Amino acid sequence: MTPPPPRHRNFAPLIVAAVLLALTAWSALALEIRPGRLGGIGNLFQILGEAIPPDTTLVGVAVEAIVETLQIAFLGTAMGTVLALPLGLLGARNIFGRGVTVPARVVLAGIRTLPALLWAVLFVVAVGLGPLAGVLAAGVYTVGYLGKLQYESIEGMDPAAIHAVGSAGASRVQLIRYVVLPESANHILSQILFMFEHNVRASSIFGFVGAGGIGFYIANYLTVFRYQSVLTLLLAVFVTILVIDYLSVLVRDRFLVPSRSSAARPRRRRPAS
Amino acid sequence: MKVATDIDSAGRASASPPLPVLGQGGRDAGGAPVTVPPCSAIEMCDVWVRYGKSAPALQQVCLNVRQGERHAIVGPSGSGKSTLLKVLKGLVPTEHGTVATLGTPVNGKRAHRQLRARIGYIPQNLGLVSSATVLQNALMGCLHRVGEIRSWLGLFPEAEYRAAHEALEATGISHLSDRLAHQLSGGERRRLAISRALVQRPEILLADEFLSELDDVTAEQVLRGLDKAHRELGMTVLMVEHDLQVARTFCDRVTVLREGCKVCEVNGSEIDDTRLRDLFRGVAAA
Repeated sequence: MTPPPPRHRNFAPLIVAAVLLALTAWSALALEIRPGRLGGIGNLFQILGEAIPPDTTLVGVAVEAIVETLQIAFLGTAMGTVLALPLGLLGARNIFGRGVTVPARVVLAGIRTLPALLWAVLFVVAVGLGPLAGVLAAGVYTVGYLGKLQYESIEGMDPAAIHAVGSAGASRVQLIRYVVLPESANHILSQILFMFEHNVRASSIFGFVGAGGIGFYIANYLTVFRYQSVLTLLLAVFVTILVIDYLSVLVRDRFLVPSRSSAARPRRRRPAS
Repeated sequence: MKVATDIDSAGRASASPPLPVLGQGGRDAGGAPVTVPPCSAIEMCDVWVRYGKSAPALQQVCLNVRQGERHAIVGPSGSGKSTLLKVLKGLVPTEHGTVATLGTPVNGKRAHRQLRARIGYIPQNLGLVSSATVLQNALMGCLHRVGEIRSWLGLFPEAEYRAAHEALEATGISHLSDRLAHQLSGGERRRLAISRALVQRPEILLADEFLSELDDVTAEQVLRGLDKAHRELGMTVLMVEHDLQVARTFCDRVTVLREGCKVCEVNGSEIDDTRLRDLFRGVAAA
């Protein structure tokens, strides 16, 4: 009888855990984060107590501000999507060579270097106070982020279809039209919805730097300690995010889920009368 | 599977155009006869392929497939059959050796569009666009004949639609033309991949285990469609096949690969199943 093969102990998980623990301790010590300093968190509850009940007289203002925020997010997402799609395609290594993908990726990474709020500051300086700066900030940030998501999902596609249709003599443009876009359309739709949600949240604070939206009102009411008004505005943001989340689920169910499962799950038919 | 025998007896030999005969070469300087394969569609000479630092996937493989020939590659799993097809399509670079298809060297890089259009390829997992309809998938075979703008707008010429419908009819799935590819069964998907290749009208068809997952009746139908296309277009067929009987009876020649090496190459009509199976298993010497 042959002896069982020797067992090799795998220490990798232990080493990774030790490194993560060491990094946590090092960061906490360097930033002087100690339990004793967390006592101030109680103030948060005091502020919350002062904010209840929310100021209902501000509902009209909140609705108006949230509509402006949604408009900023929508325009920013639309502008960003139009620019991100070609850049995302140019960044996909299974479609283009390094001479094209590297510059495209450098542009996208450069855009992502600045957070959305900083882009808002820059555009306020460039085009002045108001929603236009917010739209441009949301749009530019969308280009960087959505472009990256897109080239990653395109590269994650099953290469067989690209090989097979490319082998049939299709040009690169035809490959994009007939294989890449149809096969990644569901992912792209999902990513656009994700970016819209993200831009609604980001646009909510653009007002802090004068780039329009509900953040402008939140910042002003915070400055004068009107927490009840602030709570009204925050609730408006919260409800909006919930509604968008629900709508996203509906859209995903409509366009993403059935396309994968309809083969296995027959559609419900109306009984014959 | 009895499919191939039926195909064979159905008249392939009588219906097929006579294949060029090996050895019509002439004589060398010393007067000795030189065997020059006439009109080679595929030429591989001393080809080595290695994935990373692993053992070679192909070693010293030489292969010569004449134009219009039906050639099968058989061998156990991991013997390098699919790699060989990928080398021919330029999807896998060679470590050593020369490869040429239709007289043009293949160097592991993306071939020119016109050359790619002349070589059809059915990968093992078929490469269908799952979110497109059956008709759209079939039409993808003719993209090289349609201009960029027309194809981008989906305005295919009437003749191409006709060609696509004929190809779908040849493989027996024309009634499914409006269905999405991911809604098809395994056998229907295979037939669609073959339809796309037929629409392409290639000079060489490389097919990687395209009959797997098919029941006997469907496989017979698919082989009949391929047989018809082969006769009408005169294309060269190089197929990786795990069913030895199909390989032997449907193809003119059979190459046996084992562990990346070419064990032997035999005429399909000159070998029986038992002998081929022994070669396949490595229990018989070439």
